Formats: sequence, C-alpha cells, structure tokens
Amino acid sequence: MFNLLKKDFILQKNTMIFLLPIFILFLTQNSSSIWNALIFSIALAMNAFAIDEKPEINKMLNALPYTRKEIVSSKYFGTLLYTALVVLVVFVWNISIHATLTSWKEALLIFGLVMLAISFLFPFSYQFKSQYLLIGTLGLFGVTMVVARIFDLNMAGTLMSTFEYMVSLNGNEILLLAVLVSFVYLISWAVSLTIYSRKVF
Amino acid sequence: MENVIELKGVHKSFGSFQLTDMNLTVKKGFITGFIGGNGVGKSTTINLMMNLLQPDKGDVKVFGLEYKQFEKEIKQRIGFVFDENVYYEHITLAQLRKLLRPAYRNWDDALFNEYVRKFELPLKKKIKTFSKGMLMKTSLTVALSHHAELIIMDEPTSGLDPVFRRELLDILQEIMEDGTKTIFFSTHITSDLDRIADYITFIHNGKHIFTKEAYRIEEDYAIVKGSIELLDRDTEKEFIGLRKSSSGFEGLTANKRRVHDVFGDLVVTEKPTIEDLMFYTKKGEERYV
Repeated sequence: MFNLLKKDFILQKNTMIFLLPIFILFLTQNSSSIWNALIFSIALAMNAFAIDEKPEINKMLNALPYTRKEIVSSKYFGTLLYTALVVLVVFVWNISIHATLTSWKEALLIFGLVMLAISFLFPFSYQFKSQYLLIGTLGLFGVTMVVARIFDLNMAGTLMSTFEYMVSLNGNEILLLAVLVSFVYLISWAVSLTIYSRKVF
Repeated sequence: MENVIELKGVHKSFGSFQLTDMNLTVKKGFITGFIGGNGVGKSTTINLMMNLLQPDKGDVKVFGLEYKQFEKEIKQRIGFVFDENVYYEHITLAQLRKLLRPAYRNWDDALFNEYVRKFELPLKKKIKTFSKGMLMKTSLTVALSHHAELIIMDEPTSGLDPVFRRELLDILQEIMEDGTKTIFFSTHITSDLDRIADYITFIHNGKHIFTKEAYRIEEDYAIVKGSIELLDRDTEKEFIGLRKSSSGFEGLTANKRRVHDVFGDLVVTEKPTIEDLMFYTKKGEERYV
C-alpha cells in the first residue's frame, strides 16, 4: 500500500507545487485558515481519486500486484497524509508570519472536517463518478441556500461560529467527537471497499 | 506437462452473456493462441484469469495457486498487454517506470533499459503521444522487466500494421527461447497463430470448443468439397458446418479419416485455416438453432 501512496504523491507533485502559492495567497487574505485548509485538503484528496478514476487505469492497477483493498485503503490513508501536509503549511505559516502556534484543537478540527467530508465524497464517487460530484454539490448548495432563506440564517456566519464553538470545546468533548468522526470514516471505508470490489472494468 | 493456468467448471454471467462450464488449461513453456469471434467471451475469460473478474462458480488457478489466498503472489509473476492504453497518459515512460518499479519484487532496471533501447522507445515523451505499436512495446517491456513467467495478452495485434505485427511475432518467439515463459494471447487475426502458436484454444458463445496442438488441427480437421448429391441426412452429420451452393458444398469436418472412409475419392479435402474453423463452427451452430 505504501507503493500506491508513493505513486499518488509522484502523480500529484505538480498539482501540489501549483496549489501551494494559491493556498498561501488564500492564507494572506486573513479568512479562516480552517476553512482554507479544509478546501485544499479535500481538493488534493479528490484529485488523487480522480487521477485513478478511468476504467483503463483501474484495469492496470488491478493487474499489478495490488489488491482491491489496498487500492481503496490507499485513498483513505492518502487523504490523511494530504491533510497533514496542509496542516503543516498552516502551522509553518502561523509561526513565521503571525508568530503564533496553531492550536492542536484547530489542527484536529481540520482533520475532523476533512474526514467527515471525504466519508461522503469517496463512496459517492466510487458508486457514481466524481464528475457527478459537482452536480451533487451544486444541488446541495441550492438546498442550503433555500433553507437559509427560509430560516433567515447567515450561512457563513453560522459556519464560522460553529468552528469557533468547536475549537472552544474541552478536551473530553473533542476526544468524543474525534472518536465519532473516526468511526464514520471507517464505515465509509468499508462501504467504498464493498462498492469497489464489485466493480467490473 | 505442467499447467500454468487452469479453469475448472467456470461459470460467469452478466446480462444476456454467459460463460458456461469453462474448462481449460494453458501449458507451461508454450505459446497458446486464444481464438473466437467478437463477443464470444475471450476478454471475459482473460479477465477471469487475471482476477479482474471473479467467477460465479468454479475454480481459477494460476501457477497452481488460487487468487483468494495468493492474489499478489500470482500477479507478481504475470505480465499483461491489453488492447487499449491502460497507463497514465500525462506522464513519460521514465516516470511510468518510477511508478511501476516498486510494485514488483523482481524488477530489473538494466533489462528495462535494454528493451527500451531495443524497441526504440522514447523515455522523455508523454505516453499519450505513443502509437499503438509503441504502447504494445511499452507493455511488453514492463512485463519482461519484472521477469514475468506468464504473459497474458488481450488482442495484442488488433490495430497494428502488418509490418509491426510480424515484428511482434518475432519478438514473442524470441521471448520464448529460454523455455521458462508462457504466453497466452487472444486474437481474431488468425494468420498470427499459424506462425507462432504451439496450442490453439478455441471458444464459441461462452463455451470452450477445444484446445489442441496447432499441428493437430491439420491432422484432424479438413475442409471438404464435393457435389451436392453426396449430401443427405446421414452424411451431413459428418460436418461441423456446411455451406451449400448450386455448384456443390463445402464443409468442415473434425474427423478427416472418417470422411475419407465415407466419401472416398468423391470429395476433395483441403487443409483448414483457423478462420475456417471459426466460420464453420458459427455456421454449424446456426443450423441447429
């Protein structure tokens, strides 16, 4: 499985070099670094997924000495690595520019949110295709807008205050959330594995 | 003789297509040509051999091992060539090597470079610029570089120009020289087989018709030509398939000697091509539908 992770890293190298300055640009805009980190981690994880999505590529991967379990697991494990990389950039950025330490709660929150998002995105993409994600996301976005309009909510404000609230939780509460999110992530992995093992290329 | 691949009682169905009770073996150290028309189950069979598909029923063994327990071990020893490009298109051959090398425990960089030179493959050009022939050479290079004992090829010659086809057949023959390798390749261009195949495996409509030594086909089978009066309900049974016209009939028999006994000198017999086998088998089946 290590080889598959390495493969994704080699294939994503250029994308990562390209995204780094954009990410830093985002960070300079003083918007929520949690939000930025979330978006970029998901982008990297989904890009790694999309690179291997074509049926011909799956044919090759399955003809190589890898099992289907390893192929799916590498995507879930890779997501954690990419998130760690993004968190590292945030950490270095905060230390060098703002001379502050990124709190472990913030880092954990980024991980939790990425894992939660990927827990839905991967099984969806294995079952359908990642190209339908855009349509799905747009649909979800539309529904959110309508709901926000009906209940007169300020979505961005709500989101930020939710982030703040989560970071303000105490250690035990965060631990509980972390266990919960990890559990969702594991379930998602099992679902993706089931979908992928039935695939015909 | 040792079998490299063994399919026993394999069933696989999807939609309207069915592979039924497939029993076939591929012998070690030989080239086996795998023939059949379009859509008769060649690719399905190959996918089963490579564990890209799992059978509904029956056993698939490669090197005497089952995929359930030894998937990675088996795949370490198989090289593959598909009729489409299965590699990442936006990378170069040099980068592809970097991705594939760690996957195989027996990877041999020196051998890789040797074949790249021999096949005149560009290391620095993107895979998407490769022609069909170059892609085929790339797949072969990869297969040979990890010392694959079994090379499975799905329609390797389709879409290649005739000159390159002959070149490929020479390459395959060369690969076989050390006697340790086995090649299994599917094709519907049957003239390829006349030149290099040691064994022919023939399937039709999801069923295994036969696996024979290539030279035996000539001994057993024959194209028979004669006048139409010779045919009646009994004599027609001698043929796998028949084609009748006002000037006479032409048919395929699987028992050349018996045809001689029945018809004597009244008919002319000819050596059948593999294409004849395919054509008359299909025709024969239509007759009984």
